[in-house]
Amino acid sequence: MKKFCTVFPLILSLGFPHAQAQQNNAPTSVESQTLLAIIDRVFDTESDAVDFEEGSFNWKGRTFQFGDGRAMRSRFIRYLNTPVADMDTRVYLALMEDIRGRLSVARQEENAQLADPWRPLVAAWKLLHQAAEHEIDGGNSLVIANVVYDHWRDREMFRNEQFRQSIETDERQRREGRAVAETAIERQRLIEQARQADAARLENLQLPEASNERGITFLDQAMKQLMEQQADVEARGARLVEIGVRSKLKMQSQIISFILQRRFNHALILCSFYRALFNNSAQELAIGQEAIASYLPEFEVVPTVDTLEFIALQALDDINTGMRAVRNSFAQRQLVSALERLQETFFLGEYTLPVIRYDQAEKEVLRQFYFDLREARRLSELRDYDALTELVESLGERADDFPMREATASIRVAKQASRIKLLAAQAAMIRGATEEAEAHLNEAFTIWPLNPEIESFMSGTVTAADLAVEFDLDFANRHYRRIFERRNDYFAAVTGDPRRTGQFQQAIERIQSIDFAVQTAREQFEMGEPHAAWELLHGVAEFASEEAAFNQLFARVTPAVANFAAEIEAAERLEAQGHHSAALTRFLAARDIYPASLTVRRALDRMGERILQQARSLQG
Amino acid sequence: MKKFLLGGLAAFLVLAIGWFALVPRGGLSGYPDALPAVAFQAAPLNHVGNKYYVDVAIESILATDPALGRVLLVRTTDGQIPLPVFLPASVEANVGFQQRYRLGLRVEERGLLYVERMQKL
Repeated sequence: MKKFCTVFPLILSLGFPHAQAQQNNAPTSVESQTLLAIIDRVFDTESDAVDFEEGSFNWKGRTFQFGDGRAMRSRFIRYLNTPVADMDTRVYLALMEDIRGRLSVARQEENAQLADPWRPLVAAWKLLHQAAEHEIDGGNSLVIANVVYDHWRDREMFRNEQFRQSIETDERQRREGRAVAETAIERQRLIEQARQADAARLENLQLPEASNERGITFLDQAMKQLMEQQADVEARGARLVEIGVRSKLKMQSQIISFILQRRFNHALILCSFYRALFNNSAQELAIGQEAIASYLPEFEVVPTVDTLEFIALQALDDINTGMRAVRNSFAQRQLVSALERLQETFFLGEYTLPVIRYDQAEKEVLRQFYFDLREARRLSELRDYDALTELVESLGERADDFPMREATASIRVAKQASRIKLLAAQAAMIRGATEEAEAHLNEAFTIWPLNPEIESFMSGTVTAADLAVEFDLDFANRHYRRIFERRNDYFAAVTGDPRRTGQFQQAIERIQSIDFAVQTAREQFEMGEPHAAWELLHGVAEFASEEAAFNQLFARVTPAVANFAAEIEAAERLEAQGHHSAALTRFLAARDIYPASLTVRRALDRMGERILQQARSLQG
Repeated sequence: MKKFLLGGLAAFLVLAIGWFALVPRGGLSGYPDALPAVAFQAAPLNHVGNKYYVDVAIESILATDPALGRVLLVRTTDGQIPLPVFLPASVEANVGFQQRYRLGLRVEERGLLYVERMQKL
């Protein structure tokens, strides 16, 4: 019962969330921390360039944001799960190459010789609409087409404005001529007026103020119209500048947007359109200079559209190199390395054809490997080391670069650490140190929750508690034979309890004495020595009353030695009552019946002193 | 002279008659009954408080305390009944094994045969 009481809190602690929380809050041991570090390293196949916590991908010092880590993983898993539409991608690839080819610098120089130099550009623009129909394009070609179309519309508007500006300029010049003429006329009129004034002064005549009566003169009107015309011309010039700048801004911002979205092919196509549509003096970026400069920390130059094209080309080159590395690693059974490179390359070139068109069979192998690694990581977090061992062996068979030995060693270390903690818990239980046992058991559980020995320990401890109760009942009812038959179970149950251990030992010794006495007595009785046989049986009679074999033999022997037995039993009865002299008298009578009696000899040994004690009390 | 002789004879006769009258033949003075050894052996406690004499042969000494006395194992000479007796140190007598003695004894509590007199036969 005591053991059960000490064990019960342990059972509770493992069975309830309270204990789980306690376990989680409890400091982990050195073993478990080391183990977790090893497992984290072994099953971590995520590239250093990918930061799933921040949801970002770093490429050559340039950071691309993806939102969050879950979204990034989902994208990669979706990529691994998506089958390759080979025919669709081939057609799309041909279209994109055709578009880029038509826009290349070499072709533009050839186009300049044509009667209509815009014809190839328009043809490339029309192909964009075909490309946009493919699913993998994501409609981005249509975005380019719209941007280019907007530019052309702006260009038309620009031309119209230019035409109007030239008309306005002619009108301005005409009005300027009129203003000059009106100015000459006005001067002539003023001269004439001055002359008339001089003549009147000489004749003392009073002349009316002619100028005050005239109102707005023709010159005033001409000057006013000239100024209005000048303002119109200047406004139209500003509008022309605005149209040009707006068109450039649209295209440049869209190129930057494509790069930030890792749509490098579309960025390249739009760069080519830009180069064809604008002259060399318009290559400098009007916006996003700081953002682009952060993508090119190694260059201390003013970013241009060419810079954007360089970034896109560099990225595409890295994507091609990355995919070659993936294929090479796969061919050499370096699946961990292949998976890391594929992950890196995917996040850089998610929308590029080398990534999209990666071999379906290889992708399927890597997909299975990736999911197995994720499962292994989950199993390691759950600490299901048996299932993990099987999975690790499977991973090791498939990938030469998977650190299988390190993984299996870490699993063995974990298992061993858990077993050691469990042994410590068992030792503490035996010592009765319940709290220490609970601490060790919790740690054993933390390191390896599915350790089958924990279940055995718990059920064994519960069984031990039950067995201890059963032992108490058996001992109280003098069922020594039952205790002897279940001695292996009871031994474990009573170990650590001094009282029960003593009782257990006593029960075992009694059964051994009974068995020995019955066996020897039977032999002696058969040899014609019934007194010796009876004495042997009588020696264990006190605790052998439940023994059938004993009772049978005792019933057979006793009639043959009835007088002797009666004397011995009478003597023992008297001795028990304290009548030592009387008892000795009966023992001596028994000795006369059976002189070799061991019972009498032992009685003589103890009676002399007791009689002296009685005599001493009489004399005192 | 004759009176003196008759008086002496009479005194002798009185003493002789008295001796014969008071001391039975085969007994011990003050212990008129012989111990019923068989009955005593069967039920020692039934004789507590009685005095007996008994003729015995010494078999062995079971225990000794020089100041207190000795516990002797004896056997009656007539029926060969074994008995334990306590011979106190106050009864000064030498004990010879297999020698025969007449013991005057008292049955104490718990069936102890307490020797009060011991006479060699």
